[in-house]
Amino acid sequence: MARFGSNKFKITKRELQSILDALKRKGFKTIGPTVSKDAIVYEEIDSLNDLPIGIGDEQEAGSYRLKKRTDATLFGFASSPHSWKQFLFPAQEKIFSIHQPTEKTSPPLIDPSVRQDPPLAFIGVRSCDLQAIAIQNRVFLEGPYSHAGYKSKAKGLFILAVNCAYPSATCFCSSMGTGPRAKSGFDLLVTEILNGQKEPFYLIEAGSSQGEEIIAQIEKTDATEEDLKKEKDVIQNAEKQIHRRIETQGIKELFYNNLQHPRWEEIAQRCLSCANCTFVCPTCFCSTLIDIPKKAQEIERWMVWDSCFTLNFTHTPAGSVRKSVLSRYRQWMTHKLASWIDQFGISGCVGCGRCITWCPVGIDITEEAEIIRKTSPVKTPS
Amino acid sequence: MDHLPDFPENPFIPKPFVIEEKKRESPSVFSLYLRPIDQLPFYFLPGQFNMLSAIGGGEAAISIASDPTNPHILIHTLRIVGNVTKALSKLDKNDFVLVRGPYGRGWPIDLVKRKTLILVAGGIGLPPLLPLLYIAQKNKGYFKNLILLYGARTKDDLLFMPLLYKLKAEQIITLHVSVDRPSRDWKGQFGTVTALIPSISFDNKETFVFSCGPEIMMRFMARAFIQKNLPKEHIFFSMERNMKCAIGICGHCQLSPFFICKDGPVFPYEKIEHLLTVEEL
Repeated sequence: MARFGSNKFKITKRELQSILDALKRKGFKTIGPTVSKDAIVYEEIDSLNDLPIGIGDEQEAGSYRLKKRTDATLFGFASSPHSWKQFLFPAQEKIFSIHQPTEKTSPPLIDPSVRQDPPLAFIGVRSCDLQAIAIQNRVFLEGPYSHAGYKSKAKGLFILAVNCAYPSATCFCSSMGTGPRAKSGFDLLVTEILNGQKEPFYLIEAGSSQGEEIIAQIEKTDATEEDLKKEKDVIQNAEKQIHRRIETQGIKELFYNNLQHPRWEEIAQRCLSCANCTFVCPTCFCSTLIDIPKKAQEIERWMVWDSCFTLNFTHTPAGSVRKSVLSRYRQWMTHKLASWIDQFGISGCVGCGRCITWCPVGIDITEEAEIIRKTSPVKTPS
Repeated sequence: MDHLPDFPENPFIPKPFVIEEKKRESPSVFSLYLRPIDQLPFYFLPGQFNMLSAIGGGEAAISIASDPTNPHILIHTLRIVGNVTKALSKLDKNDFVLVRGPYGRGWPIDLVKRKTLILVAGGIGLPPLLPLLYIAQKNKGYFKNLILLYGARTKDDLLFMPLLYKLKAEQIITLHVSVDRPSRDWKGQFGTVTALIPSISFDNKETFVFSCGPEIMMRFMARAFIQKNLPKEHIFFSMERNMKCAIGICGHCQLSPFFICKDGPVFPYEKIEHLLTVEEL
């Protein structure tokens, strides 16, 4: 297999646009960050002009504000309320439709409704979100069965990643080992470098043969030692801006040993059980199936996002298993940080900070994890 | 990214089955005898389940209650408890049912070959154990002894009694039945099914227990057997949780590290014992 990443090139914004054009010519639907309703969201983009030029963000627990930057960066912000999962695992997706012929003795006809959508190209995926995509690939594709809808979209996916230069105050990727530098899982990787100017330039490298082909088509110069040093500075600077962290040493045992910790009750006093954290989380994968009557004799079955924070989620004939908010928050956090490791061999948390920013009451998973660790009656070896 | 392997077709697509017979088993329980319209045999392992739905009525996980040696007729026994089972209960002979499955890990039948097997069933927990009774009936000598402890709320809630009495008469099973609330005409045992356990004698090394019923019943059942020195690892539970996908991707049926749908529904008691004592897990 070819090795990638050894060659880095310097390009301008214009060449980044050429890459976008090349992807479009190849038939990709290009999706990237753009400003909508006072937030940076991911939508279909046509040109770099659709990106949040010179826009940054300020995030804190329960708070998100856009701010104007003094430069013309394209990626001068951190995690957004959207994650890329909405494109691979849409919030609602038709699984099949079923038609019952008027003649009652004729069997129903099932139409699997496989859609041939154009392949997707994600523009500007941060390291935390690359890891989130890798995690959802494990969930949806690596079991005994795979999710056909997810597979059809993930298979042809092209990823242009960006090294994260401006983490927000709610980020904690470095402690989860998921950033800010992107290490794998991309076709192309760019680093946006300002160098004291208003206009940034970019270092680009390939992570796949498809990425390499694209680089071959654009105007570029070899990155100099000085460029590489600047790239290093960008990453180091980003690392310095990350102040939140979760200690992951023995974290699975820590949570398994603390299912009865009094802190859960304290969190439950604040948690609104609104499910925001699960919807903004780039790895949360829960869903439900619903039947929707369309017209006479026709039904559609849809897969829609669900959340472990709802009372109905665990409904059985004997009632809901998790009736209390305490039990639902405990399930979410314990799953994310502990049982996920048993289920998929990896943590379910990538440290993107979305659950902290978008919690209406500002519950902070890093703070709660630390409190549980510090007050755990069973000491976890570290 | 072009490194992802190929996978089989959409696992969510069900197959239509036609109802060949519908039987009422109790005031709130009925059985559907189903035949696949493609006429292909339906193979399953005792203890596995299917996702069942009336067209447009939503899906529910229902254990398979039929004879595993006869793959041409699929039997499901359901209690009417919610919208899905209610919609299924309104169907009649010749109507169509959507089925996908079988799913999950069933009873460890190889482990109990030529051994004494005690089945402990509570109420609607009996149907997932029925395939084992059919195995004993078709394959005499498969088990050294087969003992069924069966409990229900009232006499009217007892299911499959003609079949059970027949198996008892044929000396295929030893049968102990108990009801929680005895009516005047009830001549048998009463009280919880777990109360039957102390009076049963068995060889600890050669005896296994498979149980399906309310979680609380299964916990007390396990305790009662352990008190009689049955090794913990000889006890197996079939667990129930909300299930939507049946393939471990919808998240609903989680019990700490386990997805009941694909890691279970049958679990060795030893594996889940510590999880059952945590409320609302």
